[in-house]
Amino acid sequence: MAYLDNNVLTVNAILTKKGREILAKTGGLNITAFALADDEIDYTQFNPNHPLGSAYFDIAIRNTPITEPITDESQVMKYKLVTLNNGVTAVPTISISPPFILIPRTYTSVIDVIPSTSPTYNVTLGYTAILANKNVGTLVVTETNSINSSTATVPTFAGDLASQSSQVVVGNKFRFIPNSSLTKTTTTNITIVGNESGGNASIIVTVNVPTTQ
Amino acid sequence: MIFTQFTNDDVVLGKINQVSSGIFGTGSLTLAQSTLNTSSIQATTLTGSSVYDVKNGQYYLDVYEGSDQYFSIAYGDYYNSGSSYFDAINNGTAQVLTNETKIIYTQYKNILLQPGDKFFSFATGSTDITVDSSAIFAVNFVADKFQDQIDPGQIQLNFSGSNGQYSYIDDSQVINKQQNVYYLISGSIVNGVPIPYTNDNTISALYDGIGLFYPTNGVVILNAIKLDSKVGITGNPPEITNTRSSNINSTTRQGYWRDWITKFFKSIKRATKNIAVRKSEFVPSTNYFIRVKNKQFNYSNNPTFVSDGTDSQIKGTIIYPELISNPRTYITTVGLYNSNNELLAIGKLSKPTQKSFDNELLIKVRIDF
Repeated sequence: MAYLDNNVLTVNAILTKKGREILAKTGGLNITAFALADDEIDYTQFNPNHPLGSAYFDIAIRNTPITEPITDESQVMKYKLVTLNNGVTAVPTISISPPFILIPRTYTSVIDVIPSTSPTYNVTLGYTAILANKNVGTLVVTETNSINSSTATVPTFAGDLASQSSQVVVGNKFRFIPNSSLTKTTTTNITIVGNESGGNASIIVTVNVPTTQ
Repeated sequence: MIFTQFTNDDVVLGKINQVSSGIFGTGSLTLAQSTLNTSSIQATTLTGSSVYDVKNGQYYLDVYEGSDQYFSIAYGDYYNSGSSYFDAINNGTAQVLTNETKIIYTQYKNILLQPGDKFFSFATGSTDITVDSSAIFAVNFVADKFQDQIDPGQIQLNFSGSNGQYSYIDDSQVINKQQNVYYLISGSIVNGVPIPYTNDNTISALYDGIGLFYPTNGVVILNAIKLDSKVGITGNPPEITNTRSSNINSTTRQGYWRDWITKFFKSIKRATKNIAVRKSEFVPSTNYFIRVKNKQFNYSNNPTFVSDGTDSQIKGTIIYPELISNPRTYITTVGLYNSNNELLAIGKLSKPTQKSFDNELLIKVRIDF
């Protein structure tokens, strides 16, 4: 009679660049929450027709080699695991309207950026919108989420994707205003992250600057 | 939801782990002392740009094995014996006293002794009887090598001279209590265990007034007068004697400067036994217990987990019916976040770990500082 496996999985963590920065500034980390991810996993390798039976459906996945952790917080935890009710057939997926933005820098009409989630999700905490290059324009919140209205400019889900050159806002709906002073045609993207589901979607944003003759 | 908050029970703060290993090579506890060497240029390298500057080799010698420096050695003398004359070759008759042995003695006295203490004192016969010494050899280990401390009970130094070979360990195992400084006694480390000098199967701590060991400073101070007379470092009769107290400057010791450091190094190198040193690093850490309950984290935002809408399924639909009827995910990464949801620490599991409605996981994430 063998002994039951009661091992606790033990993981040595490393600080990200953001973690080191905060530790240096404040002397502490104040870690309050965790999330889980499966960035390396290719679920298409799940084989429900494996000839050896159900125990082998996920044999390829379980043997996937895992890469070492890296310190760039923007390059890890891309695909987070999410808690949903048992029986769902779909994972909340975010769509963005419009599917892209291509405008001249002088464009003055309203460009609303409206995310939605199917099946319905992110209804309480809304979305975090990240404009990767804030020189291209500005994102404005046009509809705040229900609990974050007073801190609409404080990111609730920007840690992974924000950088110094990006603009991050939180809300349910957004508006894009191009930079009329832009000096050359620039392309960037807007990434919208569901604050509850963790899913994200991006659209390409191009602001044209006419070439002078 | 993708985040789970920690409770107070999930976080264990301030645990300190002692990580010990040998300081030599990639963690070896011992090293053949015959393989040690000094830099040939150090004795001739000026501390400044002028020929009137002293040479740093007059103060101390760095000791290497291969290209790795492990310690420095120095001679210190309260009365300044053994200090150099001006050393510019063929540069006149001027005699410039640089007082380096006095400087070395004072330096270690200031660092290691209490204010008001004038001399290093060494236990002779027992710990209750001490003898002062105005002359010392210092063995100062490289801080990068010994990290937080040299472990008490885990150091052995060997010296060989005209009177034979002698080995010394510290007396931490004999006194069996934690101190900032220990006396050196005769003995050896055998298979990692310090064994004091044994006579007729009786272990007896042989306090011979030889030395002091400062674990957290990484320094061994040796009574140069006693060591020289016992080991025969400088020859027979020994050159470093109590009578130096009248030789209050180096003028009567011309020719001995640097020579005593060199002879001390040779007594180390001549020894046929291995030097043994183990060091420790104290690593504060915090443990976070990740408790993943059965209903949590059974779905993924991984793009391969769902349809992209190009396979006649609605975008976002879980790709396999088996993953709908029995949802499961494979955890590879744990992220720790602050209240702004900034990712502060990242940990990777060694292999993908399945999570489903049928199991729960407990993952301990440790952050070392």
